[in-house]
This record gives sequence, structure tokens and C-alpha cells, in this order.
Amino acid sequence: MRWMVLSGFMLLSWLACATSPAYAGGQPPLPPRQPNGLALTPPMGWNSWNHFGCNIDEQTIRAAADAMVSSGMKDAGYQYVVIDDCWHGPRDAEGNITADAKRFLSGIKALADYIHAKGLKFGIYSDAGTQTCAGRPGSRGHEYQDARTYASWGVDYLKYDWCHTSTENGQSVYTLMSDALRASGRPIVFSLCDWGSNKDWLWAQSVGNLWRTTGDIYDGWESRDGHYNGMTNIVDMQADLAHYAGPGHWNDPDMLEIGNGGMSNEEYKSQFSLWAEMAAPLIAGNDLAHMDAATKAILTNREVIAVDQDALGVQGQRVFKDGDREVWSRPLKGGGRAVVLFNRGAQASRITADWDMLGYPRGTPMHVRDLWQHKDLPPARDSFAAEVPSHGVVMVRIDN
Amino acid sequence: MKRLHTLLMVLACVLMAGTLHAAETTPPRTPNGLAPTPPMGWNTWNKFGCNVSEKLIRQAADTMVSSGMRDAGYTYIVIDDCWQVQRDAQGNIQADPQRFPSGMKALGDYIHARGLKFGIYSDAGAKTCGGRPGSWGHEYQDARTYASWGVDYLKYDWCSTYTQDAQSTYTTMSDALRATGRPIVFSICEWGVNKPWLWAKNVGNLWRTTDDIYDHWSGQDGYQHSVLAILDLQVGLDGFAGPGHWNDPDMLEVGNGGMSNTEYQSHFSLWAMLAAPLMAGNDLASMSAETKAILTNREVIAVDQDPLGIEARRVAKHDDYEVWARPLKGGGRAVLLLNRGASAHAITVNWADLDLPASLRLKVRDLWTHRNLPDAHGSFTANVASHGVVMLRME
Repeated sequence: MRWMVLSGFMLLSWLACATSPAYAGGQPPLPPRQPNGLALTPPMGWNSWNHFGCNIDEQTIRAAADAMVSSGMKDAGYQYVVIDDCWHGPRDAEGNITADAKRFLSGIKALADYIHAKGLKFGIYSDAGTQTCAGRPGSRGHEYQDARTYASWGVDYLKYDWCHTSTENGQSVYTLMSDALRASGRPIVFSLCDWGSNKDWLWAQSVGNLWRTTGDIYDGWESRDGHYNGMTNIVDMQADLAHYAGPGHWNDPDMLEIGNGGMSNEEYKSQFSLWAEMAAPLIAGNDLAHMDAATKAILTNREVIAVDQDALGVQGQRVFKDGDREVWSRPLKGGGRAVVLFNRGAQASRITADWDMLGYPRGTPMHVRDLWQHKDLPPARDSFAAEVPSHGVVMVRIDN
Repeated sequence: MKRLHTLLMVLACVLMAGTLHAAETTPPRTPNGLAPTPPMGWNTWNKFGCNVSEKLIRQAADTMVSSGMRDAGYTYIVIDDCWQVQRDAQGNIQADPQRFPSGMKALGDYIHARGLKFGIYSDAGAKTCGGRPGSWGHEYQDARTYASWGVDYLKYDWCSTYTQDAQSTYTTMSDALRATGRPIVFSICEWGVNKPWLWAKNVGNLWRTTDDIYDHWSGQDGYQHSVLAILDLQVGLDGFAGPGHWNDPDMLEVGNGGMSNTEYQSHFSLWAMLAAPLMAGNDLASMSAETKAILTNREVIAVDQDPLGIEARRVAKHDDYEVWARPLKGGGRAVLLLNRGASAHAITVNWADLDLPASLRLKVRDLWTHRNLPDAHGSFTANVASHGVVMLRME
């Protein structure tokens, strides 16, 4: 009898939620915005969160900017140095946000100038709610003030999180900050970080330049021990979203974990390859000042970066799956394909990409180049096959 | 099977991870301690619409004193839409310099010097209903500006809000007002669309429950609602109101010429029964003696301002004849007999309608004739004019 009462109560609760509309009484939809003209290729850079979390200061950020140059990452295309959460101090008497005076002694403008002087761009972080995820002041109710402040500091990129937003409508508040950034007069890439909660891919094309599609990534191959979004879980969650992305508006499967130690180098190669295949932002998340040669080699693979930055801006998709063996394909400018053979299994395995998986007629001779070995392979007419290591990839460019 | 179960659990958790934060609710607020009785005052909109100026406001403040309305309890002089024109380079809102050449602080001082309070208007969206800059994205700046002007009351409209969530939007301005440190009554004006009575108790002090009123006794014209149309929409909402948090059936039309004096008397009486804000909406400087007599009926005002703050319910209805009742501090009842019909008619209130035993003897006072009637028990009957009321205090 008790279960009937419980399920009746649950049914009523569901009905109450289902009949409380997001907008009622004929509230009209938001008028569409124009694209802001930025991020015509997926943004590339570095962000403090995955490695440093809340433990940041201006020395850390300067060191990251220095290393971005000295490591060759800048020359490989990395641009944005992004401070994530925890840089904030309190708001002043006029409600303007200040920086943590101890951790950012010289102030944010001086830090932005430092970064700009190196030919890099400067990114910062805030939150659409009353507080950031780490409990610092959020931007809700201060959007125009904060955008003006960021512009005055020389900010080029804003990552905008979704904590402490209570019942806020995501499209409304993200469009509001988008409007506020434009009103500042400074071009600022807008990175929506609401973890897919508001199905951004449906409406954010002209609101922001990139939108997170899932919860935060965890530095591991797959979910375990209460961590939900391992690298492969995130990959799987991108299915069906590819066609929403394009120049100026990208799906964001979260930042890179390459070099953070939770995966093998083979697995990190896979993340980098798949992120490039998916036209994802390439935002490094490791300690740039102390990275080993293998990490640097992965992050600065120019041939893979060129796939990520392909001018066509079409996101790649999985075109074949048989158990642990997958084939991914991405159309490139000029008619070619970037193809990733992905082996999720525990043993090495041979994986074949047939031409019909890639949209080519059988019997068409194509040129094949391996993007990790940096070698041209023999031309092929019907398919390309390779032995792929466990948890690894073979990534090729196929052209005629 | 176990592996499938684990896989399903993992998938479920993975799906939930994206939605976990979406289940957040608005954290509860505490009351702001204001409006222990329904606010009383005057607002520019019903009579003057967009045509506001400091001259108009000063005149209204002067007249509110000279007419005796201030002494009868009316306090707030509220400028509705169209006072604001643009934002400066820092994003601060500016008053129309042609219509308000002395500035808003001077106007606030003028109002305060007359023992009155200063109300202003903005909108929760990007633009006000009159197309002026709204407060969306500027809430904290605007609240600070209002506080610096000496504003005591903010009416906050709902135009141009598109897909905004009402509860969090109004909560943001509520928080911004409190952050100023100045006590500012918060009047929520989103026309009942998002059922504010369910969530606005500690967010604002009063919330509109319907679309705008217009100067008619009955019927509807587009989104505009007559007195009776609004009245009927209040049924069932009485339990949500109380000291500090009132249902708002919109401003008074008394004196605006679209209804008879009998109908205006009924309108005023019904609003008092509903524990509604009494916001006059006529031209105070040119009001007739009848209008003034209606608006300054202290006995009816005393019902509206009863410290218990319990809103009336409709306790009986037979065709066009209704009985409304509300408990008063001290144990008495305010009772209103309403005749919606085309001819005068007798209306009876039975003690059972008032949840009182039939044997109980009550003193009866007519609040419009200002006369004590014979004590009654069991029931009371009066002849009520067409579109009129008989309003009684029974103790």
C-alpha cells in the first residue's frame, strides 16, 4: 500500500514539474543575435583548472605564458592563456569585481599586458549565477559592469560557468552576458560552460563561440570510483551533436588532460587525436612549465593540429563501430578526410576503414598519410587498415 | 547480468551528471521586514501613462497632503514608466533631463519633505514596457542608484523578458535592493504569469496577480481586465497573502471617469476586503468630492490596513449576489455584500457563511453610511444597489 502512495506522490510531483513551463502566458522567444565573428577555428590555448584547480596566482599564470612560448606551443598555434576560478577578490563599493590582492598583487591588467607582450591572448573566468563554483562572486546582476571591467583589463576570452544559478533560464543569462560582452566594444571569445544542461547546441550558435556539452572531464580513460566523465565517456556523449558545430560555434568536450598523469601516453594521444577529429577546442590543462618530451610531442603535433583547425570547420563523427574497434571520419577542406582508427580494447587490434564508410566510391585511389608517424603510406583504392595498439589510435589524412 | 547492471548504473550516473546542477532551487530568503500592511499611495500610470514629469510629481505630492489623503494613510508617490531615458558610459541609468531637470535626488527630497515616500519603476527585462532601458544585467547598479536618490519603493515590470525565469530574476533584484542597505518596498509586477504567490513571499512585498486593470466595471479588452474580471481571478489566492507579502489586484481606477461613483465605491471596498495595496490612479489635483470621499473613507481603509492581514474570501454566491468576509484583529469580521446585477436586490449573509454559531449576537456597523445598525444574530440582510456594495464591520 505504501508504494502506491509513494508512486502516486512521485507522479504528482512529476506532473507539477512537467506543467510548470519554462515560460508561460505567451512569453515570446529571444530575438536571434548575429555571430560575433570570432573563433572561426576552435580556440587553442591553456587553462589553469585541470592541473592547478583553485591554487593559482600571477606567478603561475606568467610561468604558463612563458612556457607556452618556450615550449613551441605558441608557434604550434596555442594562443589563449586562461585563468579559471579563484582569481577573484570581493566587489568594491560600486559593485565592480576586483582580483584577489594577495594572489594577483600586480592586478589583472598588468597580467594581461604581460601575456599580450608575448603575442598571446588573455582569458578569464566567471559564473552566470550568484557565485562561482568555488564560491567567489558570480556575475548575476552585474553582467554589464563585469564585461566592462574585463574589457578594460584587456580580456580576450571569457569562460562562463553555471554554478549557483538556481532556477535561471540558461539561454537568457548566457545571451545576457553575450550582449554585455559585445556592448563592451572589445572582441571577447565567449565560452559557455553549463555542462550541456541547457542544450546549448540548440540555441547558442550566435550567443557564444563554444559550449560545453557534458559534465567536467576527469583525468582517466573511463568512469570509475565516483568520477563520471572519463575521456571515453565524454567521447561517447558527443554522438549526434556534430552537425551543430561550425566556424564560430563549437561543441566543447572539455579541456585536455594530456600530461596530467592519469592516463598513459597512448591514451593521451587518443584524446588529442579524437579532440582534433571532433573540431574541439584544444585547451591544454597540464603544467606547461614542467612537461616531459612525450607530452610536448603530443600537444605540438602540427599535422593533427591542422586537422583540428581545418578551415571547413566540419566536426568529425564515428562512422563505424564493432565492439571496441571504431572508425572516425572528418571531412576536410579540399575534399580529403581525417580518419581515426580507435581501439578501445585491451589488446592490439587490426581496424579497417572502408571507402564507403568515408563516403568515397570503392576503387578510388587515395593518398594516405600517417599523422603520428609523419609518413606517407602506400596509396590505397578501397580501404585503409592498420594494427592499432590497445587504447590507442592510428590517425591518417586521406586525399586524392 | 551484473556487468549490464553496472553499465546501466554508470550510464545513468553519466546522464545525471549533466543534470545534477539543474535540480538546484532558489535558496530561501528571509522577509525584508517592510509593508506590514498593504502599501498605500499614488501612481502615475492609470491617469497619466507615459506623460510624467517632476512638475507632475511635485503637484501630486502637494495634493496628497492638501487633500487629506496623506492623513488618511496614503504614503507612496510612485513614478511609473517613462522617467528614464538612457544609461551613461558606466551603465548607470539616467532620468530624462527635460522632464526631470532637477534630478531624481531633488525630487526624492521634495517628496520626503512632505512626509511622503518616493516610489520608482523599472523592468526585469532589457527594456521597460514603454521601451526605456530595463534593469536586466544592471540590477546591482540600478538598486544602488535608486538608494542614492532616496527611493523607498520599486515597482518592477515584466516586459521584454523573453525566456527569463521569473523567480530567479525577481530574486536577483530583491537581493540587489537589500544589498543597498536602504529599505525599499519591492512591488513585483509580472502579471501573475509565473504564479508569484507560490514563490515571492520573501522576495517581494506585493505581487501582481493578473494582467493590467482598465477603467471598467465588467468585461475584458484584450489583456486589460475590468474590476469584476480581476475580482474573479483573486478567488483561491487569499491564503498566500499576509503581513509583508500581499496579492496585488492592480491600482485603483477610482475617479478616472469610466465607472459610476457606485461602482468606484464597490471597487474601493472590494480592494479593502482583498487586503490589496491602495494605489490611487487618478488626477489628485482635479478630483471630485465624491472621489475624495471614496478614497479617504477611513473606516474602509482601516479594514484594508487591519493588522491581522488576512485577505477576504468569497463565502457565498447566488447568481449575481455575493458575500465576501475577512477576519479582523480582535475577533470581528469585515463583511461585504456585492450586487453584480442590473437591479437592486436584497443580499443575506448567514452566520454559517462566517463560520460563526447562529446564536452569536454581533454588533453591526455600516462603513459607508458610518452608522451603527441594530445588533444581529443568525443572519443579516440588506438591500444592495445594482453594482453596489454594503460593507459592514461585525463584532
